[in-house]
Amino acid sequence: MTFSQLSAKKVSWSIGDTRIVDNISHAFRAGAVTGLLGPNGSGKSSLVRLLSGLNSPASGLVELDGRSIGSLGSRQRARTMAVMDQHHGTSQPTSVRQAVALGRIPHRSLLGGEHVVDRQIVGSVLSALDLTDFADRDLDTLSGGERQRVHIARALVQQPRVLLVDEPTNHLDIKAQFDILAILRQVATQAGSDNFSGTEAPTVVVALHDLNLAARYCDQLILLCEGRVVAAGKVQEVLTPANIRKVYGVDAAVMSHPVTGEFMVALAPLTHSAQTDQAHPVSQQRAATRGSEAAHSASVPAR
Amino acid sequence: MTAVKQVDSSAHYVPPVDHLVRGGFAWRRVLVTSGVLCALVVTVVFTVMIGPAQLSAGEVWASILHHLGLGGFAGGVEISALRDAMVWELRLPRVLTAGAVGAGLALCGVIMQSLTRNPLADPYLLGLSSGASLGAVIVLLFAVGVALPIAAFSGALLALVGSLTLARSMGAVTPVRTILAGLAISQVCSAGVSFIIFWSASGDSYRQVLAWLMGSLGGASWSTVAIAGGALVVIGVPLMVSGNILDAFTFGEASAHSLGIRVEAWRWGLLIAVAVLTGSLVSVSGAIGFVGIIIPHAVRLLVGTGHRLLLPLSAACGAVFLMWCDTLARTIFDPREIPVGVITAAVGAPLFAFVLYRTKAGEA
Ligand SMILES: Nc1ncnc2c1ncn2[C@@H]1O[C@H](COP(=O)(O)OP(=O)(O)O)[C@@H](O)[C@H]1O
Ligand SMILES: [Mg+2]
Repeated sequence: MTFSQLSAKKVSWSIGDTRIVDNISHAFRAGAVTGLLGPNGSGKSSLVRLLSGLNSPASGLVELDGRSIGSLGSRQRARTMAVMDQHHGTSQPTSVRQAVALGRIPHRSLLGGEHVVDRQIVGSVLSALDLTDFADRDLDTLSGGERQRVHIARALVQQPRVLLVDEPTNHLDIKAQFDILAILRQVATQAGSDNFSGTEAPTVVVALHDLNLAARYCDQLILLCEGRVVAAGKVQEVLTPANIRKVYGVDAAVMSHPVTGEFMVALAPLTHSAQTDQAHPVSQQRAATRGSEAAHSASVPAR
Repeated sequence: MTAVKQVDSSAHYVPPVDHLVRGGFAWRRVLVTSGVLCALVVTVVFTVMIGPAQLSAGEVWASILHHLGLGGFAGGVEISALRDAMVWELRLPRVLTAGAVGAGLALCGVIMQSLTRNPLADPYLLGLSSGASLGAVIVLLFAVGVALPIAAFSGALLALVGSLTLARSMGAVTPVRTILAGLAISQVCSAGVSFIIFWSASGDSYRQVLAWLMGSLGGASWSTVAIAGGALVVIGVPLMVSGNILDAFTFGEASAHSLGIRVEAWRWGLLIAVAVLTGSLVSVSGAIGFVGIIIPHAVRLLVGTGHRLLLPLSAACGAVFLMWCDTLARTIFDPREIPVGVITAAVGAPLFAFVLYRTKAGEA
């Protein structure tokens, strides 16, 4: 297996006195899709912002190609890594082609204009993501799924080796969710193609909510809770009923899909007996956190 | 969509030729650009020939060519010293000041709208115009021994510093906080202006103050050309190269960062450059409204939202627009002159409505 260009080393980040990201270390795998899972507020977006260099860690280090991301020039960073954040609206009427072409900005000088090569790359990514027919439409006229494809296309024309994506499937219908993640998978597994610089396999990191989407499309998972890594590794190792119950406070059963035979998770609210058997584990943890920081971190398996 | 095509298979995809040339729009841009440049030349040539004083076109150009040391091309037209001064000391500097102010305001409007991602943003957003007005009113009414432009420029800069300080005191300086702080400072300065006028203005001085508040080019001279034109060349021209940067801000600051832009440095650098340029323009003309809002929208309708073309074309259109508006202001109620701000509002408001209508139609 190949470890990629991107790694987090004991990264922490706080707002005021609140730890939002707590001592996270992970070497992201190249040629693979790594899913970031965790409930709302668990720190997925914050981690993505740290990995992208948008925020600087309070302690620890994010490394890209063996260098601290803060020490890389902005343009150099943007040629290596593309980020698709959670929110992106614009007040200006913007065509699909224009929105996608923005991804070429890191590849030109301050005054440089669009070259034939830029247009070729934009054209080929548009066609790869089935957007050619929409190229001259205004972004506002697209469906949610089409619009997300546009934002992915913008990240792809940056020709990055590392792609960070924050909750790309929000508000999309089921088919569109599958489509988006299928695209991200293809990106991760297309080492050495023309759409990417260098011959190394790209690294894709995606924050997700849906456990079954994660199970189906990710190679590696990181499960976050209150800014800490609860579990990380292969899908089956991370998505255990115990982990899911601990982090999300719901009952889970893992099984094979009746038709495809793939690994899947079935979820249900905690049953009454389960609740009395064992108090809600997350609130237990919260109490522990307040009581003693050390006691809590001891209870989380170190990775 | 049918199925996600294999990204792999398209790696060697060669786009069809029409993607590369993109016929319609490219031609349109060339046409619009040449049209605007022609309009700029035509406007300068014609607006200097129009005015309350009955000067023939031959006289006007003889005077100008003579002063430019090109008297040989003037065709032997003789002109009296008085009439020569009317052209060289009044009309030409006024047309040039109008052009520089219009170009600068439109340019600043584009940048403010783009940075704040607010289509209603204008160059005066950070309390600049109210601050300048306060400075100007103090000088006009209290006979303080300071030149009007200096007082107005100082007022604008003090308002800028006040807005930024206020924004900072609220915590992290975000664009929204900056705008709100600007609004607060703007209100305070306006209250000051109203109070001073109410307290001490009368008759003629009132009219003079009002003219300044509405924006007027009546005081144009070669020194206003130097101030407005100088600011335009020193600050405005370098700002025109920020096209790629402003494009990168299309989807907000996080996405600009992802595109390799140093967001903080560019945001503050552009904001302060815009403020200083606007302050210089306001100091010679007062706060002329509408140019900074309307021109960027109109030009976007013509050539789209890409800033590399939008910036210089907006500047050119702003110049053309204000030169014609000021020509109207000088002549329409001859022999009386009205503040050009009245004309830009009268012409600008319907134009704005039209642009809104077209923009909406385009979106539908
Ligand atoms: N800029 C911020 N200011 C205050 N709190 C923040 C900020 N960014 C994140 N947080 C807090 O950090 C926690 C983690 O947020 P986030 O990373 O967005 O979680 P997720 O993406 O997993 O839902 C939340 O409790 C959120 O309220
Ligand atoms: Mg989030």
